[in-house]
Amino acid sequence: MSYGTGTRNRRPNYAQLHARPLPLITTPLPAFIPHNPLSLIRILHALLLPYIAPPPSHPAPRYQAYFSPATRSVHVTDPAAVRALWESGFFGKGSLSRSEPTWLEGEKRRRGLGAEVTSEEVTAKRRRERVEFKRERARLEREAVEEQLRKEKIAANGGAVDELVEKVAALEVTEVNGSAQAGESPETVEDPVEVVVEASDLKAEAAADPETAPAPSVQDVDIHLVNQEHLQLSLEEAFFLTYALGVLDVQLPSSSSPTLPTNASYLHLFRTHSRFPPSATLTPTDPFLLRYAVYHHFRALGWVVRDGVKFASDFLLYERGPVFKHAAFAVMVLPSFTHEYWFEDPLGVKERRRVEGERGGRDWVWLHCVNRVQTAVVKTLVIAYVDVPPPGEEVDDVGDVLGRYKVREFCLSRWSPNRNRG
Amino acid sequence: MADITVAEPFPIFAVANKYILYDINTVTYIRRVHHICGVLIGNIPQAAQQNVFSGIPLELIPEEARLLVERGSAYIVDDVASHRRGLTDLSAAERIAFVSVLEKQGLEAALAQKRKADKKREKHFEKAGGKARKRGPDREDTELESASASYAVSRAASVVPNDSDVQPLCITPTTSYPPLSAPKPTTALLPPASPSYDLFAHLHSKDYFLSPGLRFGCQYLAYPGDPLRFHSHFLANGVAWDQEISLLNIVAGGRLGTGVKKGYLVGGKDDSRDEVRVFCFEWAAM
Amino acid sequence: MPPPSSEAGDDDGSPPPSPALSPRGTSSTPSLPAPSADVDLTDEVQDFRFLTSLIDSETAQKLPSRGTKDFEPHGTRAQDAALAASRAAMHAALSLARVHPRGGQRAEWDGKDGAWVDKPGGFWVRSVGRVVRVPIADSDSDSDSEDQPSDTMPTKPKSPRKPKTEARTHLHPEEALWLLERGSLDIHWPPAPGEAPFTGLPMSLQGGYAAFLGEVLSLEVFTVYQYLKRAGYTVLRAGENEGSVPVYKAAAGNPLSVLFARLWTALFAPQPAHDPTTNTSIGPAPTDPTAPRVTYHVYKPLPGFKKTSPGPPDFYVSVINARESCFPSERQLDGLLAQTPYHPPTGVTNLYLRLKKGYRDVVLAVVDQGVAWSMAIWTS
Repeated sequence: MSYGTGTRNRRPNYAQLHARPLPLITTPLPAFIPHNPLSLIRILHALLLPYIAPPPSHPAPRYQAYFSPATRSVHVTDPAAVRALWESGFFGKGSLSRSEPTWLEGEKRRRGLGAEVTSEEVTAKRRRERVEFKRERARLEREAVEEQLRKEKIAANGGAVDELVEKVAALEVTEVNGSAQAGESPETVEDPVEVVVEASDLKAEAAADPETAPAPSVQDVDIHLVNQEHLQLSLEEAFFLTYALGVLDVQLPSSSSPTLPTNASYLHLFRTHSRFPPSATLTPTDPFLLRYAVYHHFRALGWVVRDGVKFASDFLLYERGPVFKHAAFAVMVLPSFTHEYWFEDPLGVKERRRVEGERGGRDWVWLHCVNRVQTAVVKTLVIAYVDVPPPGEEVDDVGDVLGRYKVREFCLSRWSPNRNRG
Repeated sequence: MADITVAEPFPIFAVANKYILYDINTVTYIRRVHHICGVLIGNIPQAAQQNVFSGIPLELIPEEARLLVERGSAYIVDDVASHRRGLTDLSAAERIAFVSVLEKQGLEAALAQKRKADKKREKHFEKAGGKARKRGPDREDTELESASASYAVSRAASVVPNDSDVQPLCITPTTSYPPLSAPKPTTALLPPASPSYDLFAHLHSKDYFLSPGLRFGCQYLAYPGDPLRFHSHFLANGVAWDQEISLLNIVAGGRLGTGVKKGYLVGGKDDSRDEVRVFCFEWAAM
Repeated sequence: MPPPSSEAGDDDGSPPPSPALSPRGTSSTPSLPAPSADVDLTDEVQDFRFLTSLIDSETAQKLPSRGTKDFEPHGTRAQDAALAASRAAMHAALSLARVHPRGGQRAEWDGKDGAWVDKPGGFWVRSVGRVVRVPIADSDSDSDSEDQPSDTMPTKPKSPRKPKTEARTHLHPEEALWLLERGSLDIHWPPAPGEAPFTGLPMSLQGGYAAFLGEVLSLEVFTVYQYLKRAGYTVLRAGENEGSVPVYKAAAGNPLSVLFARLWTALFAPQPAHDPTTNTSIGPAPTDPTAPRVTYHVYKPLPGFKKTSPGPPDFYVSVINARESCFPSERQLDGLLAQTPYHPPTGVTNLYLRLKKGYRDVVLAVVDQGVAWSMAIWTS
């Protein structure tokens, strides 16, 4: 499959675009074919090459990003880095887009420069159609109710309905219909969201018509159009790229030293900002540590892990990526306390109670709410318990700190006695 | 039924910390007048092996029972103690009288059943006779068939409902208060108020019918009218005024509500102004 | 799991229409194509006018899968009439008395929990009740007819005789109450002192609830029991059926291949913090009364079920009171799952099927005036 050169709406070849699961370059061992001695030579070559002339596995200059305390996230602005991070592993989110950074494309289309259709526009079109449909349905319903009311009024007043009354009724019906249509405009005024959609629809419709809109030269566009969007990485994603993969450098806002911070200082910074307002005291129950443990766990197993707030969960798990198939699992992170410190030490008990009371106390109503949301969008809920270690020495070895956390998953699905009979 | 009324205050029976009603008249009455639906938890004897419809008894959540007691329309009876006391207090004569009443009811029920079976049989024979009369012009067959049809009709006619050989059926009465004496009204017992009781009472005062909504991911479902006829409008959750609500919970509720065309409602009592405020959330995606 | 249709492939913000509700209004309005999820009829209160479709096939109206409810009151008399008709149908349907033919089984309340059955018979005996040997009340003053002395034998000195026992059928409170509600059993209060058994007053439904609900049986547990029985399953108490839970036996393989597999996993496979294969035994019920436990062993309604040797259960159900407990902690969930059998998903290669099957699973029945069912599966 190749890129559509003539038609603009051909879908890009996602398998080719997203061939790499992570922003690292790996050289797989060639296949061993027993009856072909040449394959053995190829394998030896591949095995010995890393010792003689190692091929690069990491991007040559590491990707640059900066930490933004206002948004508690890490921003990437270099276009090459943005593309690379999105395409190999689906890291981050476009700050002005729904997920993939497509603001520039959308802006070009809005100005009539003939860029590809973005997913936001497709969705907007679908929503417009749905709103139209709903409006039509509501109008028919209203008419049916008014018809019924009118009939009952006649029955109450009259008794026998003679021809004259029927004619009047027929006239009334048309009048009612007319008034129903006229009555629509006050309805739309009352509904500001719909009006806004309509206004922007018209603009988009006009701009989307490539034949009628003038096409300024591409060079003019490059001068005037600056990409206002940046790629926003969550703290877990940034730490994974920095610590686990080593492909990202994060600039801190207030640091003036030329040397970059160590992984330990990143950890300290992210832990501080995982609560709002940022707290100086660090505890083993910091939300960043719990979330990162689960993020790292699932990334290590090969899942593409993305934020799940859209579906009221902590993370979403994709097998290959959001462009291939919808997420199959929604992960909820729950802290789990098994060490005796959390039950015997008064400080530990207080901290445990505070954490367990978060999110409304994990009662069954909350669980069924989340479970029903997931069922409606065809995802399975996964509860990931993170075993929290007691507070120990604050060491600089990040691996040591993280290694004390243990993750365990349970799947929760709806069950029906009627469907499971026999 | 517009004309069923029950004397107020009526008893609500407390068994094992649950509040239960057994009298169908009371159930219908509180639905119509007090807008309390409760949940039917019993079996329907005529359709026992299904879960779509349930029957008497009706369980009230503590909020509903408390609301009725606070209005003065009902009072709580400790059913276990009442039974224990009542059964020992019954005299032998009362027992015999009750048993004979049950026998009479059983006999009536048996007769009614028999009459229904007879009617069914008659209809069946009539249909068979009618079919015979409609049949073709072949004379031999017609004679045979008409003979058999007339025999069938005459047989049906000759089965005179003979009531003497009908065995009375056993009846399991629904309520205990014909044999036991009705307990006296008392205001001693009041169901406990849950943290979301203020929201419940507030929504109820605005003429919403409320029913528990655990399966739908909320505390209560609020209906604009009788749940038999209307869809619910809100998924209601009660919270304390100063309680922190996690944003993820609001996202979940908003998403859930909008997906099923209901509003996600959160409400609580503002003690400083002594009024209940409610807020609704709706999902509006980018 | 088929993904919802989306042209651009990303998760859409707007959710698809839920199948739980019917489209607003009457059937004359156009409706969107429905998604293919199952519709659970027990989710909503159904109109009692459709009850006849279940009992009387002659006047049957087909139970509509989505109901004909309205969105809001609009003051028409047609709507009021429909509501009055529904309410009347409900009143009529619930006013019928429970009757059963005379001469059927009868039982008597045993004073604390459960009931003794007089002459067990009928379809329900196959799956309900248990036989208990009970000493006969007047075994002390045994008449000589019990003994059969042989004339030829010399008279022996009278040894202390074992009390004579008889086999009687005993019902647990949930079983007794369920049978009473069905109208299959006539239960009596204990007789007045000096009277013969089974001559006490017949128990009403209200009396049944007062007698059988209490410390031993809560209404939540009874609701779940009743729901499962009405759906047709056979339900046994977990505490009495522990012997039927199957114990896992690892399939014996070629020792060389087992060694190689162990070496391979030790060297190359990621080491999970919790290896589900380490603990394959069945754990005991938790001692803490507030911890969740397996309440019932449930069997599908297949022929050939024997009460005395039921076999491995099909489902393990834990009844949870929604108002009085929170979502369990890891330790509690682990303890709960330990009471269910270990079944590794061997031989299943499809990732989703492996995750669906898991290593252990339990059915959670969360009750708050109506049951919400879910299944918790330990995947890894």
